[in-house]
Amino acid sequence: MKQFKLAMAILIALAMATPALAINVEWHGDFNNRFSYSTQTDLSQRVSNDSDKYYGLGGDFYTTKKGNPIPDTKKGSNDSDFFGELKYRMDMTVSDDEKKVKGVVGFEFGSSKFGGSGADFGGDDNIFELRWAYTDFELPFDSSSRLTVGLQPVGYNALLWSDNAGGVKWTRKDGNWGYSLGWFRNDLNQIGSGNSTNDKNDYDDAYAADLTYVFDNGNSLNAFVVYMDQGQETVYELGSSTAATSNLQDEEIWLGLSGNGKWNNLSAMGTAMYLTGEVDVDGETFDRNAYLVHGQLDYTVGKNTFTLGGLYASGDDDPTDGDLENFDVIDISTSILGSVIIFDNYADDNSFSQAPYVFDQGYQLIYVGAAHKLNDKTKLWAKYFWHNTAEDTALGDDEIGHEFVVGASYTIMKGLTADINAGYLVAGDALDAISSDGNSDDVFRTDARIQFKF
Amino acid sequence: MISKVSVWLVALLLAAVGTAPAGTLEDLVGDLQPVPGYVVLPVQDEYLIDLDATKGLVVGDLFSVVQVGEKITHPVTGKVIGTLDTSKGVLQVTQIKEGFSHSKALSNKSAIKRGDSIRRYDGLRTAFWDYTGKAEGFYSSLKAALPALDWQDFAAAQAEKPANPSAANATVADLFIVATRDGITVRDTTYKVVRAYPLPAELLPAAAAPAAVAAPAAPYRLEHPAKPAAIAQGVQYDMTMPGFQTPGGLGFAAVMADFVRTGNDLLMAATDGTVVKLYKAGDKLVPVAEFKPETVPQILSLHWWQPASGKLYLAVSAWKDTGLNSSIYRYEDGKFTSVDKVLPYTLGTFDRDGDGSRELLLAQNFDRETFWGTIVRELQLQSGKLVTRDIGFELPRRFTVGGSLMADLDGDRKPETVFVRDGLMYVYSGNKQRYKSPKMMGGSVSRIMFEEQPNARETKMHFAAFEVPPVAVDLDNDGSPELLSVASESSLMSAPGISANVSKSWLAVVKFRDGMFVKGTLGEELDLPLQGLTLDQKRVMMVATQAGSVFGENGGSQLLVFPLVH
Repeated sequence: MKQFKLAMAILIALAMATPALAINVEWHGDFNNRFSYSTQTDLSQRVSNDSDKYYGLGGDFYTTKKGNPIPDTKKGSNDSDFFGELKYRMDMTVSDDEKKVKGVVGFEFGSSKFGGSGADFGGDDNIFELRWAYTDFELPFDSSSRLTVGLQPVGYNALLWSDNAGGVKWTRKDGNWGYSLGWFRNDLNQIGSGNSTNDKNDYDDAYAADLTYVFDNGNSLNAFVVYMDQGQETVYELGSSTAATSNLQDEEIWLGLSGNGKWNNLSAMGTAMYLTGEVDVDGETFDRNAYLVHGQLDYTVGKNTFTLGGLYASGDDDPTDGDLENFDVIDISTSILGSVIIFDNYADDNSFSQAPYVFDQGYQLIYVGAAHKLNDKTKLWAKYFWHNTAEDTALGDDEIGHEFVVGASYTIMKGLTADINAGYLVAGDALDAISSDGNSDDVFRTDARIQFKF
Repeated sequence: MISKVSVWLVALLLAAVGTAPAGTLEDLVGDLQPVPGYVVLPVQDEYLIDLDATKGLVVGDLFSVVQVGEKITHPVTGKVIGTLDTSKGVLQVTQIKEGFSHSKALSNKSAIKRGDSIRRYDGLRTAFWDYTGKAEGFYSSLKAALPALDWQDFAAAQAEKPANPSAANATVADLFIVATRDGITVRDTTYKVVRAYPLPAELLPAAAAPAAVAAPAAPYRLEHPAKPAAIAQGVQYDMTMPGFQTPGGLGFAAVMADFVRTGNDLLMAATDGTVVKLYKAGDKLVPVAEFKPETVPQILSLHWWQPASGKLYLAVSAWKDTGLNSSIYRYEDGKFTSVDKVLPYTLGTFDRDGDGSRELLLAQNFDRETFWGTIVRELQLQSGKLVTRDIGFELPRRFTVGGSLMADLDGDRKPETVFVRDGLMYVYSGNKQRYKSPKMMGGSVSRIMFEEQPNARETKMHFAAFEVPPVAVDLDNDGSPELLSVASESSLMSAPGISANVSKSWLAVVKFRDGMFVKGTLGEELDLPLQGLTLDQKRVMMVATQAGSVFGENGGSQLLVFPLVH
């Protein structure tokens, strides 16, 4: 009882002293409940992953993805299905009054499908994931510089690397200029970075730098370079669970330039990236030589916004020529594009491709859209996509299909939104190649979400 | 030449007097030295002069415009030994740039022309008002050291001076030097402080002796309503609720409001985040106009802007989708008209010259991590288009154009920069921090959540609060303004995306006294956030907001008025 009283006294004293403490605790959350219905749920599994690698080497095709990722694009009798899923994220920032030092911890529960682990009868499953654990502080000798150490969000272009990573990043802002240097480490094969029994080939190191110029009118240009030494990887033939080799080493260098601009009613964003480097397989080397270009224009007239965009990611046109011409990303989301059926949608862990390409075939995409702000709470939109791969060597054709999308967003209250969209894909000939009878079916999918962000 | 002679003269006087204060008299004489220059160009209502800070100029300095008179010829040699110059007008410095300064005419405007010769603190009618009862010797020293001024007789000046230091009788001279127990101030024709100095030791009141001079006017306090009289069969009770008057409700839950006086009207613009409403704030709150920005952004703050006499604009800082979407609106004949394009900046307006109207519009860039970028530019209107200009003064790195003001708080005639950020109030002179408050300043419901990289798979979430700008008012009638600011209490833990976390609000007062800034409070606490603040005609006016439910229902705002009494 005495201990309880003492603890209470300390708590009360701390509460009374709160205004004098130079410390702040700030909570943010993203509580995302989403639902999806599709006439072919096979296409809701990931065929191409952003974090997986695809290699056409000496006439053979390899990937770091183990097992069979290929769906059947022919509709079966049980293909129409519906799921609900949760993905809850929270992060806590502890800082001083002037935010010179910030300690951040972020975690995620999910994704858990209703009825699956973490969201079934009774719950009680271990679905905890650590997202962030880092300290971010202003350098005492240079108030323009900050150092971020730990597991942190890494933002080197939304189409290259915009996920979390453990490492150290130095950033500095000086008037219109901003720049950063970073070192991050990965362990693709999950061998265990830093274990005394492993050597340096077992893990992956990334070194990154960027330079940003913000014009007086708010427009910006960003140049970046990322060098990644992938270490030693195990690769499989597509669809196989048996390792083809465990002696593949990949060195990649991305050079990129991106920009955002706004001129009166017109706004634009664009990215151009060039990928070089080499892949060493059992002593034989292959050169990397690939690129990606993305651009989007938005024109706003009153409450309406019209969009025109396009993306091209190069693919490997000849797996026997000793060159790897397929573009490769590190860790991204493709939800930026707004597709419902092919790329990341509201239920973002359930997309056909989480990368802007299919295997090593690259991608060609053109899209147009219109959005209308009905009132301060409601927004409606429609989009059309023409999906193609850049090359047709793997699938026999390059046309994935024509996709038509409509959607609506409603703000229930500040931070709480309800969204729904629906897409219909008129399947192209490239999807026939992964159909059980060589003739794929069209796909309808609708996703909805209730999201609380604060 | 005069300068060197004067300084030597002062030095000699100091040596002779022995006990005379070294700093104040020397500083005063140095600061009031005549400096010659020319009128370069008349621009609209002002005149550009060819002098800047390198010549020791500060905003508020006064210049005689020289009317060249008859030549004085030596009767024997026939040489011209001088001219019988007179003053044909007075200019006052309003803004200092690099290489030149802006000034306004205080008298005889029509006679001032390009090329006219000007002299600082020369030929001005000068009165010395002594409220210490001991400053006659100081006056004599000053008069001897500054012969270019047209000094009024000491005794005559004391006979004419008002009982308490104030602007009454301020028309008898162009320049006033006023000695009170708080210090010595140099004041212009309108009795505004141009320069200020500590009181020399010899003029300080004796510790035990009662003050022999008239006390300054009593400070203001809030007027409380009379207690209700007991009624038959009833009981008398003591009103403990805050004693404010309520001219009216706004009809929505305002997240920001701003006031401006135009002629006989006090106008209040307010927004609930989607629509802007305009009211006349008199004894009653009267709706005048309203508009909704065409692009339907989230409105975060409003600032009245008066770039030129008779013209009124409203700077609206707003957010849409993933970036700033701000606009300027011209207000004329009861209507708001959009000016030029949508701006990717946060906007704020400032009264740097202390003339009571906010003539300076600043635009701050958006930083995807901190919201408040470090690039601040001036926006000017040229032929109906908004153009950006570099600013001619320093701002601190943590400056925010929202929740800020610029005012001369320490009497040095250079405006301090004041801003409220993350619960702290800062006062800066240039880049030098003069004051940082405890964490209880501000507390606004106007806020925005934003993602650092909207298209990224993993990104940090940030928020920014738009605070109500403090106001600078001379509450205690000592000739120097105090800062009146919204203050609030909030808990250690917060989820800023859900709630502003304001449990109670009050008004804080920050004053520069005895070389330092001190903080106090004015009035009582309220359990509502305050989203607008002004002081107009001895009335403190605030907008108190009841946020309502999370769905926006049952919210509302009231204009609260506290009359000030001595």
